[in-house]
Amino acid sequence: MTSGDAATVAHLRGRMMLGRRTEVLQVECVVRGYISGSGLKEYRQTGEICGIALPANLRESDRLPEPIFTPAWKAPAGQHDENITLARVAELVGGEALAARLRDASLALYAHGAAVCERAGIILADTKFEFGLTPSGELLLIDEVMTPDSSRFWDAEAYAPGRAQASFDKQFVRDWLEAQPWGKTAPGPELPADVVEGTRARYLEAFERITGASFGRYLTEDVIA
Amino acid sequence: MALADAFLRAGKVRDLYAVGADRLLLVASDRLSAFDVVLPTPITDKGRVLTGLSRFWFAGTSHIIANPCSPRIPRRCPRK
Repeated sequence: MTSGDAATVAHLRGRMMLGRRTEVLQVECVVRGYISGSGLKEYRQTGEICGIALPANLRESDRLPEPIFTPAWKAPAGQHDENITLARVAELVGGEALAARLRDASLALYAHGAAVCERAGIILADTKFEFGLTPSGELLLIDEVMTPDSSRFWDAEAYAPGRAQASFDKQFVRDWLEAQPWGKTAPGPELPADVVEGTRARYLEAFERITGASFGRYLTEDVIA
Repeated sequence: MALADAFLRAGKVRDLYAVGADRLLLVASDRLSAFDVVLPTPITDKGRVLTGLSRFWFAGTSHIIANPCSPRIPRRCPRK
């Protein structure tokens, strides 16, 4: 595609972000306010997540006493990311001071995000941040931030610990997929139009509830207000 | 310049392009991954939702940590 093509310009509208080339730190900076996913799995085996001891008898999806920093090593393609301790983060990024900064920034970002989501009736169960270093050594938050793809969003109204929670954005498509004769390996099935539209509506609802802004206005005026 | 010439790599959901020597253009597609499989059918506007949310959070968290939209790094980004 070429940059001057009208169809290309229309396609790109609203989906571009300019970033900076940085040295990407090879650590997924995960913060969990609730216990789920790989955190739950590790907790059930060891009573800890990433070396952080947790109270006994936590149920799936329980709120944690306080949000915790549970980093993961970014495994090469084809391998699963691996939960690691803060000491291991320090080894990977080259220093305890930087590791502590990653933890503190991640926890502060989560606290901000969780508070905004809570006002929108959405639980930010956990989320993953990425950081990079500029050539001059400045630490930057990069990549995507607190999106449905990097986070678990739950509907606060439907929240019930003791079981898995429905994903605010993806549950619609997951429920449909579960009902298909499909082995969950590539290629996946084509989605019917009503499943596409239902899933789209959930994504737009997440955008509008969290930002308090109109999605239509974001598309036409390029503002989030 | 043709965008294709600056193409760096495609992720599961986003495509990356080089802009000059030190910048990147991230383009969020409408691809959706479920059960770790990228589905063949795109979800209309999903990439725009993801981009808009990231921009919203970048603008609201630059007091916590700098990002490519931070005031210190001039950029056309939304601010509330």
